[in-house]
Amino acid sequence: MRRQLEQSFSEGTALKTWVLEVHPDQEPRAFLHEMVRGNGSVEPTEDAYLQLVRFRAPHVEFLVDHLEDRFWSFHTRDRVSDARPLLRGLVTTRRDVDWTWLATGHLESLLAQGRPLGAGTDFRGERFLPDEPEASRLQLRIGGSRIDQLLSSVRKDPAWVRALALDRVAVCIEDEDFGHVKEAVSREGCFAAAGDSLSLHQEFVRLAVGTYRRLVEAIEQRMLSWSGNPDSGRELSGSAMVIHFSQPLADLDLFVDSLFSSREPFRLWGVPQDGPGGMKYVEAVDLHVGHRLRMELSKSWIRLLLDKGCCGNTVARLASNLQHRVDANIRFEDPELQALLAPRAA
Amino acid sequence: MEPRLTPVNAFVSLCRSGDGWPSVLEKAGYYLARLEVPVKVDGRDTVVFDAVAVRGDGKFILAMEAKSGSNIEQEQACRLTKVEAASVIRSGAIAVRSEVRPVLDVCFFGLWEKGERLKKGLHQEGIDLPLVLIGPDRLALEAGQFRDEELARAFSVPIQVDGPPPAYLRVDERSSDETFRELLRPGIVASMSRRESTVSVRVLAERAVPDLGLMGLRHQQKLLRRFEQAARTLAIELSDSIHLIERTAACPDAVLRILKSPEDSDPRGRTQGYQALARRSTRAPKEAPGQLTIEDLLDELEEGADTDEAGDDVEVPL
Repeated sequence: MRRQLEQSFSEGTALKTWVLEVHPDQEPRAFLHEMVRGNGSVEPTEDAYLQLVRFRAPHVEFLVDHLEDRFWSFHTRDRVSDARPLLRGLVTTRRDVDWTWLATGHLESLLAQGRPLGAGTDFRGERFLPDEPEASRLQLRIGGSRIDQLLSSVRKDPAWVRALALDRVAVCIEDEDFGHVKEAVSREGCFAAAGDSLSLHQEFVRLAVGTYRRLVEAIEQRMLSWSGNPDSGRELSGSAMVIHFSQPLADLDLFVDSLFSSREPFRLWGVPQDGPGGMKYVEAVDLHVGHRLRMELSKSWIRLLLDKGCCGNTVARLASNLQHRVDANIRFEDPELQALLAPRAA
Repeated sequence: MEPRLTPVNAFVSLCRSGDGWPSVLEKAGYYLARLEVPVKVDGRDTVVFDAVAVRGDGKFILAMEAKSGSNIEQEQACRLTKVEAASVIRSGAIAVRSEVRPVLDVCFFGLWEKGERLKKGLHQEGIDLPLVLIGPDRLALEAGQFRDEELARAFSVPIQVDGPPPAYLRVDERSSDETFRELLRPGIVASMSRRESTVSVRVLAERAVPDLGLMGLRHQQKLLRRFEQAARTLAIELSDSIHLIERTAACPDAVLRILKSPEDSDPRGRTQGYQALARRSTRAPKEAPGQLTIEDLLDELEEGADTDEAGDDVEVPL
């Protein structure tokens, strides 16, 4: 099946690969069966790590590669407009499936992997920054090889730098031994590829997911966990994580009201409690996964305290969405996390 | 976070880096070993240190007594001066990583606003232990001195902080009823979002306070009773969504049955359902039916747009 995929790669329409973060509580085939329940079928292939998933309505065929235990690739040649709603339905309704939320820094580092072909930005700050009308929305589609120059010139304007959040990039990768591939990547982890080398495509996906995986795992290493006993005391490992805004927020109350409104894209529930100096404490629920987390917010930073057992995707998703709604230049205080959020800058 | 818990959270945070507070103790080589360490003094009395940190080379142990109020109890303070390093090591089951005889530094952490009375109390009792005070924008050593010269140097000038420390610990027996309710409420919402039909109050308490099971039995029971009381109040407040089944001899845990979840609704109704759960908590006036908020208007605008979530259209320029 992998050979067929390789042979057919250069034919016809682009291959689309979504990388979803999956937490299966059963063996992969049974998990996929449950996912398509009532709307399709799952067929094994001769490769134990490849399953053919066929949805009935709309008719979409995915070849699912679960070789990576946590980040599964859903390959399809069907139309994005048919395939994406199916996956979005899964992500929205299930607590064990999520997108791969690539940050602006991840996309920028992918742009540097080859010859830039295009990029897109998507920043919508109206809801979160209503009192800061100078640069509330930025949606650009850029084509050509001088993308870096344009992005650099936008960055020079302090009003717009906060809005420069990449949501997609396109790049051409050429290799003397393998051939070439044109890749387009969206921030939710969809890769559209055309060219003559499936290997280059897979390597590109592996590179992107590898950086993201390291970020998620580093976040999980910082989650709070307890051990010990009443006789000798309790041990606490892990640490709060801090995200700094590049500029202080004008109105913290408005910001937290919007952030914890249970709406897309954050889907955070919480009741802010007042703290000293105007800061807020929130015992929040991440409705994407049904886990609780604690957040402490000021005009300049957000502290996150997550207990062991939460998913690192919660923080990666929050960071990516903050970039597209509040501040593209957010920064982790922890240098290791920051290097993983913005690998190119590091 | 209740201000009472600020001193212990400050100590924890000073042993951490990257959490928004200065990592003074970590930089001086200390790691947080234990919280709430009971130590015998003279084989008779017991003192419980709120936190104990150990210097990486094993030469110094720092045991901290958190003072949330302004009183220094004479007997307790005297006992603290008699504690020996070996007792802390044994009681806290602390691994000493090199063959040195550790020196014990016992200190107090207190709140800035109680500082004057704390200093006066220590002076009156003739206690010469270090006192670190935590204020809204700084912390400082305000009395006594550390034996460890590294620590003495680190605290030789006031240290700037940006707000209170992270709330690693946010509840104890003395916390208000409201605190217990506000800890329980998100647990119920999380259960609703996972479509759980029942959940015991003990499970909700353990999710809210993950170290609950590591506490002494008496302490655990006290906290559990407070969570049960909070569950009773919430069951009345959210009577159309949850029902509390009290514990009995046969069933030792009280259980919450979830009658209705926002997950039962369509996507828009689901969001409104969760918002209603938050509104009830803040008791904000309900919006009149049919009245559109600015949020609703923005939703309307975005409905026809390409995405309300991550980039919807991945037909990027190739």
